[in-house]
Amino acid sequence: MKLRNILLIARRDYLAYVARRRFWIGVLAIPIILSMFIFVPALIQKFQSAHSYAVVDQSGWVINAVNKRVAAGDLTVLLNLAAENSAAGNKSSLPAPLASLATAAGKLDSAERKRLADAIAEGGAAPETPAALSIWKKRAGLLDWYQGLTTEKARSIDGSLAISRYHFVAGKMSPSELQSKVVNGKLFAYFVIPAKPLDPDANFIYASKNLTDKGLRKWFNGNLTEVIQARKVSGVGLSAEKAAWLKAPVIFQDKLVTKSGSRQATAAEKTAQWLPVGYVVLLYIAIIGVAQMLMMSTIDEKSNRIAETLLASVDPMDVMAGKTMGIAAVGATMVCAWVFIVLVVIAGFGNMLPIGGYAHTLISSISIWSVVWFVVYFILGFLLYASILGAIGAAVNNIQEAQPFFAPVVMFLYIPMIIMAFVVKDPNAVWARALSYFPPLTPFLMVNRAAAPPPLVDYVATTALLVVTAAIMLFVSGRIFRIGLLNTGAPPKVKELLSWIRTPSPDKAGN
Amino acid sequence: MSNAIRLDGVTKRFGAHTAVDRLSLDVSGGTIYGFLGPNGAGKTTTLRMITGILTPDSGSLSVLGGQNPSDVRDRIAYLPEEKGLYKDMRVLDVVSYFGQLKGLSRSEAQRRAKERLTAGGLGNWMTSKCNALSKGMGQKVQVIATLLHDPELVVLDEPFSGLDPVNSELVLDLIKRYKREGRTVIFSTHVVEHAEQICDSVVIIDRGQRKVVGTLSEVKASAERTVLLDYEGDAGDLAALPGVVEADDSGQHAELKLAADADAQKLLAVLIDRVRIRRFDTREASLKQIFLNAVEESRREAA
Repeated sequence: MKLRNILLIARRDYLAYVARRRFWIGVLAIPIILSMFIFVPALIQKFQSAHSYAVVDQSGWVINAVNKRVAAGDLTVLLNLAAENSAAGNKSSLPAPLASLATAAGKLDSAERKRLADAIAEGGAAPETPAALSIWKKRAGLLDWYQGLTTEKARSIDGSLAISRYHFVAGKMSPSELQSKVVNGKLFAYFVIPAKPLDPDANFIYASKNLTDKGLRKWFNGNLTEVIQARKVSGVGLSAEKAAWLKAPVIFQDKLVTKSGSRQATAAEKTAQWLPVGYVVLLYIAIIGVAQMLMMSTIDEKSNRIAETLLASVDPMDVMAGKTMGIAAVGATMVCAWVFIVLVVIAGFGNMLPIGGYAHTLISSISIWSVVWFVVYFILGFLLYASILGAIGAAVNNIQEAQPFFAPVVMFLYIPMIIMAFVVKDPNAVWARALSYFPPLTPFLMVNRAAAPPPLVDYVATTALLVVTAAIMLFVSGRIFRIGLLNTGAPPKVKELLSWIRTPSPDKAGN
Repeated sequence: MSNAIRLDGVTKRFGAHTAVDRLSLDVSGGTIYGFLGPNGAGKTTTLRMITGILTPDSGSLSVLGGQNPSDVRDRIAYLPEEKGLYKDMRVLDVVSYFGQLKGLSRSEAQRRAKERLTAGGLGNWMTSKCNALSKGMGQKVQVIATLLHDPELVVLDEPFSGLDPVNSELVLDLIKRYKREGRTVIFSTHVVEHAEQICDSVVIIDRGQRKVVGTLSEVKASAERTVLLDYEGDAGDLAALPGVVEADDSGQHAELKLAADADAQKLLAVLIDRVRIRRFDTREASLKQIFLNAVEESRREAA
C-alpha cells in the first residue's frame, strides 16, 4: 500500500464530484424537494382566498352567538401571540393594539388568556388578576380593532386567525340571491339555521357547490356546536362554570422519565423523540447515495478503459482504498452541506415552519453523543455498503450489468425505512435489539434507537460486530475488485466470484 | 548492454487455459523489442506480467533489475491496447494526474504536461475537457500522459491498433527516439511490417509458447531462403542439389528452398556447370513469412 497514491486517487475522485456544478445542484435539490413538502401546503394556505359565507338564521339568535365564539377564539390566538412575542422580547413586531398589552398577556398562563378572551368577546365578568384586568380595561379598543381587521391584515398577523380564512357576509338575502351568489362564486357556501335549533330533529343545512373542501363546514360546525350546547346547558339550569366542568375532557400531562426522576416533557423534547427518524433518513440517503457513487465511478473507469492504465501505476488495493476514501469525503461534504442548509433555514425561516418555535429548541436538544454515533455509523455503514457496491462496480462492465446485483441491495435497504417509525415508538423492543445485531442493518437501527437510548452493551457489541463485518467485506471486495477491474468479458457468475475471492494473488484476469 | 527484462520459464494460467507457457526471453537494455503473435497468443498477458499487473504462476521474472515489477513501476510506462481518459477531466489535469501516479511531484507534472501538450500541438486544448477531444487527439493525450515520467522501459500493447496514419507515424518516431535516448521499448503487434521496420529483436509466440526469438538478422538468417532460378538446358533433379530442401521446377523456371545453413555460392557453382543461367535471385524470407510459417507450424504441432 502506498499512501501517496491512495491520497492522489482519493483527491481525484473527490474533485471529480465536488468540483462539478451538477453535484451541488443535486445536493441543493434534496433539501429543496424535502422542504417543499413543508412549505408548499403552508404557502397554498397563505395564498388561498378566504372563503366567504352567509348564514340564514331563522332562530334569530344563533349567528350572533357564533360570531362571539369566533371572536373569542381569535382573541385567544391574539393574546397568545402577544404573550409569545413579549417572552421573546419582540414586541415591536406586533400591531400597536397588541403591543400595548403584550407585557400583561405574558404574565397570564394559557388557560387565563383563554378565559379572558372568552370574557371579552362574550361579555363575561371582569377578571381578578391585575394583569388580566389591565387588558380587560382596554377591551373596547381591542374589539374595535379586531372587528376592523381585513382578511389580508389578519393573515399578515397570524394565519391561524379564523377571520383570515373565513369571511362572514352579513345581511339578509333571499334564497334565489344566495343561490346565484354561490353559483357565481361570490359566496363559497351558506348555512341555514332552523327556527328551533335546540329541537332534537332540527335540520341544519350547509349549501355549497364545492362539497370536497370541508374546512369551512367543519370550522363553523365546531363553533355552532359549542353555542348550541351552551344554550342547552343553560336551559337545564346549569351555570356556565358547571357546564364547562361537565364538558371538560380528561387531559394527560406527559412526564418524561429520566435517571434523575420524572418531569414534564417540553414540546421540543417530545419532538426530539422523533429526531432519530431524521437520522435514519439522512443515513439512508448518504450511505446508499455515496456507495452508489463509488459503484458508478468504478464502472466509469472500466468502461472508459482507464482501469488498466491505473493498475500499471498503482496496486489494485490502493485504487480501492483511494476511491473509497475520496467518495466517503464526497458523502461527508454532502451531509455537512445539508446540515448547514438546515441550520441556515431554521435560523432564517424557522418561524415559517409548522414546528415553529420548536426548531431552535429542537436543534439544541440534539445531543453531541447522538451526532458522534451518527458519524461513526455513517463511516462504518458506508464502508460496508461501499465494499459491496465497489465490488459490483468492478465486476461488471456497465450499469445494465450492475442492475441485477444492485437491485437486491437497494431492496434490502428499504427494511430500515419501513420499520423506522415502529422502532422510534419502542426503541428497546426485543425485535429492534435483535435486528441491531444484524450488521447490514446495525447503522440504521442504532441511530433509529438513539432516543431510548440503547444500553451501552448494544452500542459496543453491535459496533464491534459491524467493524468485523465491514473488515471482512472490504477484504472480500478487494479480491473481487483486483480481478474484476481487468475483467472485460461477460460479468462473472456467482461461482466465478467465489473463485476470485478464494484466489490469493492478483491473477485471474483474462488476457 | 545489460538485460532490461529477463523471463525464465514463465507460466500463467487462467483456470484450465494456459495463456503463457514456460516462456523465456531476454530483452537487452536500449533496444526495441517486438512481441509478435496472432490474437490470443499470450502477448498481452506477458506484457501485463512485465508491468506487474499480473504475477506469473511459475517461473521467474526480472524487470529493470528488480524481481518484482511492482517495485520498479515508476520507471516503466505501459500503454494498454484499450485505453481511455477521464471524460470529465480537463486535459492538463489528466496528463498531470497520471504523471503524479508515476511519482512526479504536482508542480513537475504540471510543468511537463504543459510543455509536452504544447509541443504536441495541443496547447489550446489544455483547459478543455477530454470529452471535447477528437479520437486522434485523445490518443495523443494518452501517449503524452503515459510517458510523462520519462520511463526507462516503455511497454506498448498493440500501439498502432486504431491509430490514424499521422498518429502511427508519431508513435514510430517516438519509439525510435526513445531508443536513441538509450531507453528500452517493447511492444506487441500482429502487424509484422511495423516490427520489421523498427525492431532490433523479436519474439514470435503462439499459444503461449515461444516459437522464434532473436535479433532481426538472426531470425531472418535462421529462416529458409528462396532462390528464384531461370535457366536453359537440363537441370536434372534440382531437389537433390546441396543445400536445397525443396524444389518447384517448371522446366525453365524453378523456385528452390534452401536450408538455413546452405551456401548459395556453392549451389550457384554447381548449377553453372549444368545449365545456362539467366537469373539466380537469392531472397531472404520476410519477417511476415517467418511469422506465418511459425504460426502454421505451431498449429500443426497442436493438431
